[in-house]
Amino acid sequence: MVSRRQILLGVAGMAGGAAVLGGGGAIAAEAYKRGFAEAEAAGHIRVAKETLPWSGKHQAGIESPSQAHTKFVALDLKPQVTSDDMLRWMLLLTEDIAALSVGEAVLADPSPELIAGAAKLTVTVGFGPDLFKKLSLEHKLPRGFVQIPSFKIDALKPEFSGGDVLLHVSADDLQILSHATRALLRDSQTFAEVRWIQAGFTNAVGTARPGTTQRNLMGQVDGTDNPDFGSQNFANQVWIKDGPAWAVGGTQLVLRRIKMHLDTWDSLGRTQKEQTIGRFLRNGAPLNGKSERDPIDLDATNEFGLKVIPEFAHVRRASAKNMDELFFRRPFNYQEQTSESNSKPVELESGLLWTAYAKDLTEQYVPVQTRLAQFDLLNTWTTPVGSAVFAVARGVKPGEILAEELFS
Amino acid sequence: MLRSALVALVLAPVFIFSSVVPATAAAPAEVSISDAWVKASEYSDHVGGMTGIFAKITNKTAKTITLIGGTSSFAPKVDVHQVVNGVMSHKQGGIQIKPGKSAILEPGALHIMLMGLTKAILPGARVDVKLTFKGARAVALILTAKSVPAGAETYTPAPMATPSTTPNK
Repeated sequence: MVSRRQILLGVAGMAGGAAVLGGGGAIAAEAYKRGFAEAEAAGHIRVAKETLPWSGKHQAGIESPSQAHTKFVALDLKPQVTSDDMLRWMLLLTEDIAALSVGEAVLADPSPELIAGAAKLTVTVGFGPDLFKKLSLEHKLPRGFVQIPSFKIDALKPEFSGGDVLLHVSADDLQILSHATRALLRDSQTFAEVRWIQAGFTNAVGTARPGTTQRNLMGQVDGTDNPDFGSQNFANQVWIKDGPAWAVGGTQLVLRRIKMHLDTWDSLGRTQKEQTIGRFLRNGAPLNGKSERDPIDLDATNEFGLKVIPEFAHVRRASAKNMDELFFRRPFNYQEQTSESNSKPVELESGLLWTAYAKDLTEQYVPVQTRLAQFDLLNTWTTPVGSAVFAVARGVKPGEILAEELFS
Repeated sequence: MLRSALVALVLAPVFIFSSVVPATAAAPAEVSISDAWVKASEYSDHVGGMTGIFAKITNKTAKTITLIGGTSSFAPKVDVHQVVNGVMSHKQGGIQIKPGKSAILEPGALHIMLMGLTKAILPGARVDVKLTFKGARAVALILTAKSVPAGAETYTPAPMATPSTTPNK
């Protein structure tokens, strides 16, 4: 399946054949050529064949590198929908996720041929604060999960904010992602109406080395301080450890749609941009260091006795003041025609679908965001225009239904 | 494929998830059934209603078998139907499946009908059905009800049941 592996096999075949004298060499060369041709053919559908596990302690789509494309879909419950209805909806979604994640069309798909594979498709399901009110499930809220306060920098629009249920769908192929999203919404239409859909992207497959921190559309390396996948730090920051059963192994998500004012940002010089962030644009290294992973030294001074990382720098304001203020970010970029007005000329709006995952948003996220809202020079070039929080259910084993303990 | 494992549900507890159960069948399957589902619609969301079952049914035996009907806790009558020129009717003699071949039951064509529902079938409901064959053992399945507009079935000119007056839930 993986082309490189088959190429290696082909090489091994050749090496083995080389030990045989005479005609054996020709046979081995044939085998090598055949192996190479097969590997090349497999390479053409390599992206479609890639899958990520859909079952386990945690839902997919969080502790893994961002796929190339994403859609965040928020839905609001239809009136009179009950917990029993929710359970049937979650059964449909769980079955759909199990199929789509292995590259199969959902049951009764009118156009199953559009699912050309999985392309690392993941679906993550979460629930907004209003759902708990509507269904009288407040006693099952995980600790620290509340509607976050509004900040003075916010210019939130309802069409990008709130929502009872989140379906976060990502894949490395936009066509597969689009059809999968439709399938999930078809099985949701009985229970809920779509409130908003926000689409985002990162680099395509084959454009960056593994482990490369992505860049946002301001040009910054964004996400350097994230905990490593599979690390104890990640588990400590992200996964809920105690509380209602449906949430243990789950997490809390805040999605912020952050509009970037790139025209004014681009009128700055590179040095000004780097001072604003506190990192070098070229490689993301902190201004006190040389490479991306060098620790940030907020006390470092230059030959004039001035702080190397200015007081107003984003990294200074965003830095955790203690271990409780750490969380995981998994942002996607967006670029769309602006929704400001119907008049021409249309504006090209760029921004970030910024996400933070924490086991307790109140404790881990809110203090940091409060600090950033008070004073962060970066606010000059960014405006939050959407905001939503969702409690993400734990992962499921085959045979279980997503969030079944919440609704039964 | 995963969904071929549906047949194994004969041996599995009913709450198990239809599409992801690992195969545990003791005897070699005579019939393999995949992509099976029940349609949830305004015709199925009330007692007395009706609905269709769709699937791909493959004959794994060496002789022709015939799907003749079935049983379900949701309906007293489980019948084999056909749609010809948009008109649905009982298929006399059942559906014959030659050795190694498959019958495709799909909206607007051959299908199995649950008639005179004793319980409403809403989207996401799990519906038990046991399909009976001439020439092969019966196969028990737990199916998921899905609301999918497909097949352009209108149950005309003579509807066998009336749709509910309330919107489909």
